This record gives sequence, structure tokens and C-alpha cells, in this order.
Amino acid sequence: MPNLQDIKRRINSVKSTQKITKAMKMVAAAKLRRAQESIIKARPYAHRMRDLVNNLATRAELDLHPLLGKGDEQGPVGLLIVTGDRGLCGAFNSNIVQRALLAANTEKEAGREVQLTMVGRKGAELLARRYGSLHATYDGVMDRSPFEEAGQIVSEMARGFTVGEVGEVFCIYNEFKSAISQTVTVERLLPFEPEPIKEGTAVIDYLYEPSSTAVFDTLLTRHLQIQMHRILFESAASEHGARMTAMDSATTNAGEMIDRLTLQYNRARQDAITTQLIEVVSGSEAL
Amino acid sequence: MADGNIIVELFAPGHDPVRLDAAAVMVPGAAGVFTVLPGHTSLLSNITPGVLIAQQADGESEFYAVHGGFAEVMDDRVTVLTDLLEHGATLDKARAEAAQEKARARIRKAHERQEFAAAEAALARATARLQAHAREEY
Repeated sequence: MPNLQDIKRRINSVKSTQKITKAMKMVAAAKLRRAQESIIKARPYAHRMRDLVNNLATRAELDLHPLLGKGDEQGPVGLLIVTGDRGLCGAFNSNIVQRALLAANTEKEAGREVQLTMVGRKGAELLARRYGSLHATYDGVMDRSPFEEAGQIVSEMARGFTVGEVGEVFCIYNEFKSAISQTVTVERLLPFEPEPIKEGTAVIDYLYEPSSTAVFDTLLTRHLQIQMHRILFESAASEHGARMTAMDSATTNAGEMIDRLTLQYNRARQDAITTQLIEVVSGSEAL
Repeated sequence: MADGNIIVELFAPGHDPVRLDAAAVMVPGAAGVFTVLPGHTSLLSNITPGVLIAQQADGESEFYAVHGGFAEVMDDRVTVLTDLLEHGATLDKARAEAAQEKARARIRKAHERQEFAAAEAALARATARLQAHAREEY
């Protein structure tokens, strides 16, 4: 049986851990609320942009711009994996890494080369250990200016696609559903997906102003940047949600542990008193 | 197709989408302002900082300052994706005027091409805001 001093120390240590997890939970909740607001406001614009570009891919002549290219479904595949920079958020990072490994291995078995690009320090560490070489890593993205960073990430990706280094680009990230639920989502960023043409409708190309090249140049790069920006926000909101849930259960667990240890402490104290009493009683009887 | 209304939808990051019914829409395209009436052909245009005017059938108009982006016209539906969207009535006139002054001063002092371009863009934004606020027709 551990002595009283030991139990007391453990109780205090668990209590201070609980204080930390509680504080982290509050911080995550506050950040989540802000992140949730920004993702909800960012979605309509980003989704409409995606519809517009897909629509464009249906109508426009695909050889008008390198980014409109059909890609190569057998060629090398680029995987863009978005994780968090920090840990202590439950299965958030490992879920993504697992999904990424699965995707990478499936593509490899199909005989395709795989190029991994990581956003987020935590996932990069995990994946570098379990997979090996990474094409590029970005970290601290949300701490700096996410919009500029999104632009950099996609411009490297677009370059790879236009020179034929990769035939397709997929993004794997956590899509924000609610504070307690995030879904790992795989989304194809490049090539764009032309919408299926409804039967009996004529497909007419747009008129472009000032010119098709000018519109494509700005629209397509802008579109990629916006989508990346949205994905970064989805992932950030998911991370805060995951951290809040994880820290909430950590706080509950710590509470249970304190209760158990307190019970143990009281029992040990009672035992000690009983032993002392017996000693006193048997001592006086012996006189 | 030639009669009825046009549906105008305005989107900007961080802004709730705006949906309007209009009889005619004036859009500040990169190749000049164009007016969309029902039955307009499909069009995709870059837009510059300027004022978007949605004229309702009863003669009333809504003024929005838009700051660059894209406009899509298809099937009597105008979709505008802009970087920044501001409703004319909610704009702060004094602030826009100050910004316009500041941008003009910067243009006069600008030496490098980049500096000049940034100042010009700022001036265009401030002017668009003022026009939207003043409900200035094209």
C-alpha cells in the first residue's frame, strides 16, 4: 500500500494537469468559435467559385490554358495533406496520416509515383517517420497569413501540374462538420472536374472579357488559392474542435482519477488511524 | 427569356451572399462597364473596382461597391464573385474620402512602378466606394 505522502503528491500532480487541460479546452473553445464563423462565411464564396470553374471546364476548350489540362490518371499523383502544427488534439492528426498512408499505398500498388506535400508540422513528423521522403512541407501556416500561404502552396502545386510532374492532385484534410465531428475528406484539386452535360442542352462557350486568356489566368489561380484557403480554414476549425473534445475528456478523466486517488488516500489514512488505535489499545491492555 | 427578371447573386469571402431580383444590372467589367438585360448571352468577365448597380423593375436601384473579381452571366442569372463587397448605404463616406485623398498623395509621390500601382488600386477602391455611396449612375 503506497503511503499517504505518495498519494497526496499524485493527487496534486493530477490536479495541476487537470488545470492545464481545462485551460486548453477553454482556449480551444474560444478559437473554435472564431474559426467556425470564418469557415461558415468563407464557404459560399468558395463553393460558388468551384461551381463556376467546373462549369467553365465543361464549356471551354481545354487547350486554352495549361491549368485546364486533362491531367494524367495513370501518371504520378500529388497528395496534399493538411494536418495541424500542434498535438494534444485526439486522433485529429493520426486520422489524417492514416488516410494519407492508405491513399499513398493504394496509388503505389497501382504503379503510380506518389508525391507527398505536407501542411502542418505534426503530420509531417508522423508521416516522415512512417513513409519516408516528403516532396515539400509547410508549417506555421495559420500563424502567418493563411491567404498568402495558400497562394504559395497552390502555385507550387500548379507548377508541378503544368509541367507534368504530377498528373493529378488530391487534397486530404479534415472537413469541419461540428465541434465534435470532423470528417477526413479526399478532394481532387487538379485537374478540374467538368460537370456532366445534361441531355438535350446545348453547351455554349462563354464570351470572355477582356479575353479568354486574361480571364483564365486570373480565375484559375484565384480559384486554387481560394480553395486552398478554405481547406486551411476547414482544417483549423476541425483542429480546434478536436482539441476541445480531447481536452474535455482529458479533464473528465483527470477528475475521475482524482476521485479514485482521494478515496485511496482516505482509506490509507483510516487504515493508519485504525492501526494506531489497535496499537494504543493493545499497549494499554498489556500494562 | 427576353422578359422577366434577372437573378443577381453576389459573393465575397467573409460576406453573407446577397441575392437580388433586377430588371437590369450594370457591372464594372475589365473591358468597360456592361449592362445585362434578360436574354443576355453567356459571358465570363473579369471585373475591376467599381460600382455594381442592380436596377429593379420599379425604378429603384441597389448600389454595391465591388473590388475586383469575376462576373458570370448565364441563363438570366448574374453571379459576381468579388474580393470585397460593400453595400452603398453602409459605406463610411468620410473614411472613403480620406482614403481617396491619401491615395492621390501617394500617386504624386510614387517613384517605383509597384508603389504607383498599389496607390492606383487604392484610389480605384476609394472612388468606387464613394460612387456607390453617392448612388452615382454610370
